[in-house]
Amino acid sequence: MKRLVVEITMVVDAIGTEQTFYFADTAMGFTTKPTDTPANTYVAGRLISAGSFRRELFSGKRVTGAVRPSFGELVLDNGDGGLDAWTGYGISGGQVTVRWGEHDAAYPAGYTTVFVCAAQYMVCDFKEIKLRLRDRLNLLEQPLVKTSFDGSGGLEGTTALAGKLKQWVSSDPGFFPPILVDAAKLLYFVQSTGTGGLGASFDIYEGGAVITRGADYATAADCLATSPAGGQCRFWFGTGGNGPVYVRLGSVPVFDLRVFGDGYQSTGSSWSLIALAATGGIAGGTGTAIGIGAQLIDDSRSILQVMQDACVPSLAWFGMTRLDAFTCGVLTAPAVTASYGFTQHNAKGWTRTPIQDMDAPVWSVTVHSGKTWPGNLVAGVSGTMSDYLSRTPWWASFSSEDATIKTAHPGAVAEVIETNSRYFQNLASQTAFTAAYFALFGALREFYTFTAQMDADTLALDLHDTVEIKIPRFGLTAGKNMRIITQSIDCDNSQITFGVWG
Amino acid sequence: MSGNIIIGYPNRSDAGTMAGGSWLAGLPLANLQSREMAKVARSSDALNASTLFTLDLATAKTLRTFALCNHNLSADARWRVTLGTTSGGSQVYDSGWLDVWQMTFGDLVEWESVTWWMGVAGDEYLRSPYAAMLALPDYYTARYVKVEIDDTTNADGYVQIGRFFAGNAIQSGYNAAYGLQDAWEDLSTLDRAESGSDWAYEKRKLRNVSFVLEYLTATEASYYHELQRMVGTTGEVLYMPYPSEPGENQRYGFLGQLADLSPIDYPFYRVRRLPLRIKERA
Repeated sequence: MKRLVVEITMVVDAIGTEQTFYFADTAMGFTTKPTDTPANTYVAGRLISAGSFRRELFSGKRVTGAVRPSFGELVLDNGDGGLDAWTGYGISGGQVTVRWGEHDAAYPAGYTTVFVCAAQYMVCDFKEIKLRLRDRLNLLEQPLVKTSFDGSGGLEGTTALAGKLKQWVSSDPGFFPPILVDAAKLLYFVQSTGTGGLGASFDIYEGGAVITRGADYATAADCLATSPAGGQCRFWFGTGGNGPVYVRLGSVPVFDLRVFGDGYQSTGSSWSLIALAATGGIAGGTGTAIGIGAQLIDDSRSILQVMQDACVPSLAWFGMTRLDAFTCGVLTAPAVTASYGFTQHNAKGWTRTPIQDMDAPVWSVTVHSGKTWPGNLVAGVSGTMSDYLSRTPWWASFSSEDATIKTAHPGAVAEVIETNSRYFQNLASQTAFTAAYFALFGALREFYTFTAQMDADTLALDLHDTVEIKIPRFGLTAGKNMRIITQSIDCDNSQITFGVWG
Repeated sequence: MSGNIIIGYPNRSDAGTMAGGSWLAGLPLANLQSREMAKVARSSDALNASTLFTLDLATAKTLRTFALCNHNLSADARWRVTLGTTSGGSQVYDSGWLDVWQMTFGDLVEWESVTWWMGVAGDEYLRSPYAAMLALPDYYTARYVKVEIDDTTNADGYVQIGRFFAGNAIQSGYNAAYGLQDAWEDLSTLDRAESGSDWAYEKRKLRNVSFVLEYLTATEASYYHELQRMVGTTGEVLYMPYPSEPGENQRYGFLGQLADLSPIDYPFYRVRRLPLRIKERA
């Protein structure tokens, strides 16, 4: 006989004291054993519903990006008012853990963790407390760039600059404008991020013509005190090259200024989905190393938006696992080896439906990539620089079609994809992308949903895992490997509904 | 003692003061006075000096029915109830040491059968729904109750009890009519895969009973009328179907609630009639 146990940890006073509350499903309350953790503790049978846990790999139109969570509600019996004090507690952001195990198993060692998530808010009436649950991806719904110039002078600029955001750079977003910090000193801000040891690759251009670099400044004080020679520039890359990056000019510019720079983490590593998640407060992520790509952020875009954008050219996805860990990967066709098999004997409710906005194959794809900052040009600038500084509004636009797909599927559709990342810098990367895109979305893909019993095997399955579907219908008698792209755990009925794609 | 059904009510234990023995600070004797059955009182060890408690009712009360519910008492456990005019005294009544487990099994399922133990062994209420129950031969009036437990070989190294019942009772002169029904309600559910393979979701099984007291005197009916007022459908009653057969009493008796407040009929001259449905508390 199994029971569900919910642990809810929340702040219970103004100084941040956390307390964990334990509940079992109704009629299944118990007192922990001396060898359990916590020991000798009463676990009230107040849990009316442990809610559901739903995640979808596809959060947009053939765009992977963030895993879309959709949690239900956790309902606790409060007919006796025993939990009325909760209305004064800091429930938002509290951790909720749902475990499932045999009633006589050691707690929690003998239980399986069904999911871990966060409480968002609660609704109370005279009978029940309903906790709205979600994952921690909302921590990423904060501006990536929060630091601005304070206008106190020096590197912080004049009062006129106060409040302006310090632009954040990942990799090489192209030729972007620096921010004038001090007109008298001809001091410009380039980026808040480090150089990754690539300070030598930085250049500043006036009207497309490169300005001769003098020796890099050794200190911030040196940068503020010493002007470059006339017609030259000097960079200050921050201590150890870890940013922020400034540049001073020796002469007043007449044409537009553009900098070609590179942005990296202070460790020297490229910015990645995992690293950005960590800046948002979700540390310890695992998965495929997926770069943020060449981007400049100088507005209020959220970390989540930047990560979403980064997923576009990589065909990548990211999100929280059911155990509250950040993970990411690249969407690929189903693997050869399946993690588990589903048949008519261990699943029910088989349905074949299209995914929303993915009801037909794609035969044509057009990609627009890389934000640009075009500028005026000095006479005699090279054709290459003239090209670079004239591109607008995208650094690269390209398209590809596969007529055979259109022939096989007259209803096939054309897609347009946009990304701020200057990802596609050469023909090879463009060709590789369209090939991968058509491989994934150019074929007639099948999407099945079905419901299976919740057990250790089905709980272990996660999004993007490959499973074999073998049923005597829909031409699947011989079996077919498919990717799990949706997962909905129904704690109350001990069932999991999967959506598979392949 | 009459073998007619006894309905124990009200539970006077909750209003009293408990003391004695040695119980974990986090799982104190006060938990015996909580309606939450799973909230147990747990002794610090299994020594007899630790596994006792006294109950002071503040004033002398009429008592006849006692029960230890949701306990982990082992097959060899014994218990003793004394009523006194002083704390811990036995001036009013002494049950002597009684076996906790009174149920006996015939040839079909032996006492030591694995099948039998699967149902009732262990240290949790879920595996041991049978309470230790005691119906006194008569009504006694006392202020002080003392319960001693002798279970020094308990494998857990402690005893735990989820609820203590000490109450008055009503026992009618005529027993329930033939047709009484003992039943289990299984909270489990069953689902099936596409092929028909079954998925079982096992939950607890709770007892219930329905019977009719066909011949109640006006006085007895008035007591049942008052019982319904005091207990309603949320309060608890101790259902003791076979007071003179402790084994059967333990098997079929339970701490329960009235499933509904049935009307007390007046079918014949000077005869009242009451159908009762009682369901086990969870």
